[in-house]
Amino acid sequence: MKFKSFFYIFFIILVLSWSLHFVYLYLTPHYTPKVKPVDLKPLLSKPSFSSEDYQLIFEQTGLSQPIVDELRLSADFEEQLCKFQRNYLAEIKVYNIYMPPATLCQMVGSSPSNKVQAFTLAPYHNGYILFTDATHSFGLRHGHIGLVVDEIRGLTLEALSPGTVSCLQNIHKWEFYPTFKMLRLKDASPSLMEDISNYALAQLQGLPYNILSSKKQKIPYTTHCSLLVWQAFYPFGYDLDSTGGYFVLPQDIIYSPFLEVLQIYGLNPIED
Amino acid sequence: MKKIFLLVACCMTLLFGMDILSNPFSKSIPAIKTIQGPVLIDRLNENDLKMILFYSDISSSHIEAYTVDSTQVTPLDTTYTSYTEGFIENSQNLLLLEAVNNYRALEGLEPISYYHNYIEINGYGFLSLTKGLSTLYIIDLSTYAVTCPTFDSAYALDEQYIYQISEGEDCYYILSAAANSYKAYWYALNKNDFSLSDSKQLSPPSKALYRNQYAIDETGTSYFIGNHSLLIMTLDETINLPLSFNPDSVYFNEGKIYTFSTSELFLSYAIYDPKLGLEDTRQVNLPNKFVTLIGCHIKDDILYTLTYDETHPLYRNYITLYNLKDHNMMYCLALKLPKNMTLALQDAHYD
Repeated sequence: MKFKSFFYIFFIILVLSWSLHFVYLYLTPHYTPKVKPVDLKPLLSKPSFSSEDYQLIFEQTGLSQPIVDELRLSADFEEQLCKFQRNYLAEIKVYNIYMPPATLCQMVGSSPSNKVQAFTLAPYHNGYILFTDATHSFGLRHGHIGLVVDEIRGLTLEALSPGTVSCLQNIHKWEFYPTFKMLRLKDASPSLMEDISNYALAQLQGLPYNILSSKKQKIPYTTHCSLLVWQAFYPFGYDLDSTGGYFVLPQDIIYSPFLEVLQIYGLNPIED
Repeated sequence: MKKIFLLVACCMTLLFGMDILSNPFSKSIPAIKTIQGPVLIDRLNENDLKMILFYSDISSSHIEAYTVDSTQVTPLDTTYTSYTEGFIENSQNLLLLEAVNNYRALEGLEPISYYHNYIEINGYGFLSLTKGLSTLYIIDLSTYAVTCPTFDSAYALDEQYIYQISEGEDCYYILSAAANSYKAYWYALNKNDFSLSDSKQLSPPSKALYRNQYAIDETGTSYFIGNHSLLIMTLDETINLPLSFNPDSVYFNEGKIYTFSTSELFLSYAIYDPKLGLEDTRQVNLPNKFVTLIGCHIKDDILYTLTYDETHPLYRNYITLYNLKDHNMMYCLALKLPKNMTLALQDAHYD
């Protein structure tokens, strides 16, 4: 009898916590920054920026220093930053779409037939890593991650879902997710980034998706989204799995000490 | 305790059920019966309309195909699968993969399950990965015998996307785009033994990036979109052909070159003969304001277009046919989107 009671209580707690978590996932698809919009134009016209200026720009636009410095070279720098700010601070609607067999993916808009481009990607280059936490399965918000492999033609390499193989995707689809993070290796030379993306393009396309894929494949023959990114960097001496172990999740990669954040959208800059 | 257990289980079932009902896990929710909206214009007369439309989810793993004729849109039972640039019947895909993988096994290579592009020309299938001519597999569709081109060219091994292939008198002409570069590669393959007889590296305008922005004709002349122009590269010379509009796409079809562009209200096009004589250039009305052209095809002086409407609350796609002889819109059908699906780019098969 005692065992039965214990079982019932354990079951109830399990179910309740799962239910609450599920509701939480539904209610928190996107983080809107709790900051008031600031007129950035006076700051943007300054000849140079202090670290406080970069911090303010990051809080208002989600763009970090390397991206701000790159955008600064363009003629419409102020205009572009103001657009990033508008998108970054705006409230959005989100809907769910089903991805077989058991994943829900959140997208910006009111329905699949009314999807909305939520933000603009910051300038991207080969070897950059793109992350969203918009996908969840069985109450676990695992997210999705991809690698930029052709910056000129705007292509990422991604492993999408069971039953598919790793393939090239249009990079602009990422602008429809309610959450986004762009990262790159710290202090890596452009030639190394090229080597990584060329390796991925040559060796990691067309690999069957297997969520149980091991990191110990000498020549990669199966993959999943985060493993694919890990497999791209590992031959170049970067183990991007920040937690180690058998599995590598998208979150394990984005918290890797080898990476720096370039752009965030819809994520809490402190907690996420 | 049992009551509490039952209550929680019921709540749980209800909660999970609500989620299921809001998603297509559920077979109890009737699937959308038809994606067909109203026929807005019908002046087809004796002209026949036959198309297959492909809709897919974000991962291209769930594909729905519909046949379209002038009176109805019908879901197809045939299963399709995707490759990077398009869709193919599942049964055909399996035959191609088996043939290619048998060939690769003899070469000591890993089997493949996915490819970048597949083009059928006159009894041959050209299946390509992205490693240049070394991963271009030419399949005789009557025997499923596989051949790979023989070549001696450094850039033929570069990472590249084979976009277009045309059949000339003695050669197959191939136009590919170099990965991570604005460069393009042009190859001529001998028809008898698929050996490389000629090749060159081209420099298209930086605006020409995607498959429908490259074209090649049966003489091996390459076409690329540029700013208010087409760049044309014959075997001997390069020609910059100015246009009255800024083109988005270029196609070679049945001996003619077609180039298109969309603006707020109009679809602009120009048609050239093989000697680059302008046959026609016009603006025709789009089915709605601010629609995006996602695919087009020309057959027997009829222009078929597929467009996406970002603003209409019900109908997101239109199939519109134009008679290029009298420049009139002859047919326009509005379409709803199947749940969770989008009409994939460049996705229609036209019969």
